[in-house]
Order: sequence, then C-alpha cells, then structure tokens
Amino acid sequence: MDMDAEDKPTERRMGPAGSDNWHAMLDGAEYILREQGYACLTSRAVAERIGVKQRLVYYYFRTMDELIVETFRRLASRELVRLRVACQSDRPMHDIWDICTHSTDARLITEFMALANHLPPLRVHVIAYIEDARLLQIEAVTAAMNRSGTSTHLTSDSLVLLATGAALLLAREGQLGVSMGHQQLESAITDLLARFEPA
Amino acid sequence: MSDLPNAPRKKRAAPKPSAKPKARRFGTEQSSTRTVILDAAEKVIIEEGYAAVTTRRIAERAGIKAPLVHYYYKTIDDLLTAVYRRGAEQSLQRHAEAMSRGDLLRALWEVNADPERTALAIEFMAMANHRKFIREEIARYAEQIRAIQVVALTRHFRERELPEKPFAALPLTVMLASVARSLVMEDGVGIHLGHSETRQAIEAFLDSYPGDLTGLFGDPVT
Repeated sequence: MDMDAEDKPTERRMGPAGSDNWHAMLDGAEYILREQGYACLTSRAVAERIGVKQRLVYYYFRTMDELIVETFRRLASRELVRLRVACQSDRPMHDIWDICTHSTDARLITEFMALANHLPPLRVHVIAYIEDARLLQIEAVTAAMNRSGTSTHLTSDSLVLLATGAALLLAREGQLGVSMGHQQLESAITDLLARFEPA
Repeated sequence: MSDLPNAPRKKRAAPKPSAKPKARRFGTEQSSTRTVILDAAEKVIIEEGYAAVTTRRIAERAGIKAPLVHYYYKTIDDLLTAVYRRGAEQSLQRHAEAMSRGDLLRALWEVNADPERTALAIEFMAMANHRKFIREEIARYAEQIRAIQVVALTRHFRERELPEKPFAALPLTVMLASVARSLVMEDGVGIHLGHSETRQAIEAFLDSYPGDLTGLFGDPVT
C-alpha cells in the first residue's frame, strides 16, 4: 500500500465523503480489487481508472488504507440493506439463500479477507460486518423455523453457517472452474429449505 | 515430496561456485536450500502478502544471496507455484493418512477443519483471482482432494453396508469442506459467532452417522 500522504497532519481540508468524486474513487477501488487484485490497488491506479490526478485521491482519503476501509464499508452497508429486505420477505430462508448463492461476490470477498489479515483497521470492519449479517440471518431463520412448526437437529445458528459456508465455497470454486458435487449440495440445501418454507 | 516440479529447466551457471548443484553429491544441499527458500517465501506471503514476494525480499528472509533464489526459481511465478505445491503435497499426505482411519467421517472433518496455513490459503485464493497458473493449480488440487474423499467415503459406506442417506458421498464431502473452510477462515480473522453451535451440530451428526438418520439434514420432526 502506498502511504505517501500518511504523515501529513490531519487538520487539512478534505473532500466531502459521499460526493460524486468520493463514490467514483470507491468504484475505481472496487473495480481494481475485483479485476486486478489488492496488490494492484494504489492511488495511482485508482486515479488512472477514473481519470483524475493522483493527488486528488489524497484530497478525499488521507491514506490508501482509509480508502480501502471506506470501500469495504460502502460494500458492507449495501449488502446489509439487501439482506434486510430478504429477511423481511415471505420466504426469508429462500431469499437469503438466493442472495448468498447468486450475488456472492467471491472475488471481492477473498480480496477483503486477504487484506484483513494485513490491515488491522479493515479487520475490525470485516468482523463487524460478518457478525451483523449473521445476526440478521439467525434472527430471520429462527423466526422462519418457528413459524414452520418443523424442526431438525440443526439450530438456526448452524443452519445459517452451513448455508453461507456452502454458498461461499460454491462461488469461490465456481470462479476456479471447479464444479464437482456443486449441484448435489445445492439441491440438498434447497430440499431442506423447502421443508421449512414450502412453495 | 519430489523436487522434480521445481528443477531448473536448464543448467545454468550457478551464481556462486559453491552452490553449483551436482546431481548426487549436492542433492541434499540443494533440497535444503530449496526448503529454506520455500519457508522464507511462505513467511513473506503470510505476513506481508503475496505482492511482497520478490527475489530480493525472499533472499533477505532466507539469509542467502538474491541470485541464488533466482537460480532455483527462475521466476516469481515458479516460486509461488512451488510454495503452493509443497503445501498441497503435504495436505494430500495428511488426507491419505486420514482416509485409512476407521472413524472416517470424523477424520474427514478433522482434515478439512485443520486451521494450519489458513492465511496462506487465503493469499493463494486471492492470487488465483488474477493469475491463471495458480488458479489451475488450486482447481486441480481441489478436485483431487474431493475425488480422494469420495472414493474413501463410498468404500467406507459399502464395507459397512451403511445407507448413503441422508447424504451421498459427493455432496457430503462438499458440505463438510465448505463448513470447515468457513469456520477456519473466519477464526483466522477473528470471527466466532455461531461457530461452537455449528461444530457441535456437525460433530454430533458425524458421530451418530448413520445411527441417527434424522441427523443433520434428516427428516424433520413435525
């Protein structure tokens, strides 16, 4: 990570968070992470990607670490909004599973997991996000299980972990071109969900 | 593990006369230098990330001269591949041992949930997003492991005349792998929410298999 602007004292004027430029920079960072990997994420690459001067990046973000954290936070809040919608639907278990399998951005998740191991401020946000998402899912799944009047030996906690873990592995391996056993596991899980939430 | 995949393709002049490998006499020295290089690369990947792997950085960590790294691994890609293969070979070895255990389901779970080298695995996964040669290595290895598990499980079921319900061998291996990966990856980052419940549920399922067919995904009690 380049940190050339890091030692500048803080009181300088900063570009406003949430402005068009700010969003454009996060878009650029997301694109670079997904397409080229965290190793290529520099202020220069972001500036080039969105066609601004490199210095402008440091007008909006004190450091590249800050830009990475903001990129993650924006992504996380977007995902949480979608998850809340799914949790409130008529068939929350199906809709949560649907989100997990169809829109899991395995590439971005892997990049952020790798980055979290090297960047303590990011790690805090990654942990918070995964825990928030899990709590929402557990709450919705517990309610759905109770409503259905059906039970298994699985608690809602472990059902949530099973399903999200499976979705992530399917997405990640799909990226690698591995598909062995994917369909079978998917149908086992959808069969299970159908017991709780019949069509 | 065989040194073959890493062998320099052509004989080149060694940077130091003392390092020039002569197939037999220096065989051991050659492989110990390789080990030192691979160990150093592994440490750099885990601590600083794969992007930090340069010939110079590895030489520094290994306490050897940079040209020597280059002598054994002509490119960084060769070095990264060798690091990956060494880890994969070791896991395959562990799998082979586990697959002969009588409590196969437990064994399968334990090798899958082995937290060792999780940080390294995440780095390689990130690398695989952008580098084809690593992607191919990981894909090949993942399929190999899965095939080994399926063969062992199928034999296990057959020998004990166990029904394959509630899970056939293939989806069972994928499911165990996915839960185990999630648990160890999250543990590594510091997330533990719901983990102990999940571990308990899986272990209870595996221990009672197939005695309690309602196990994990079994027929619901209405």
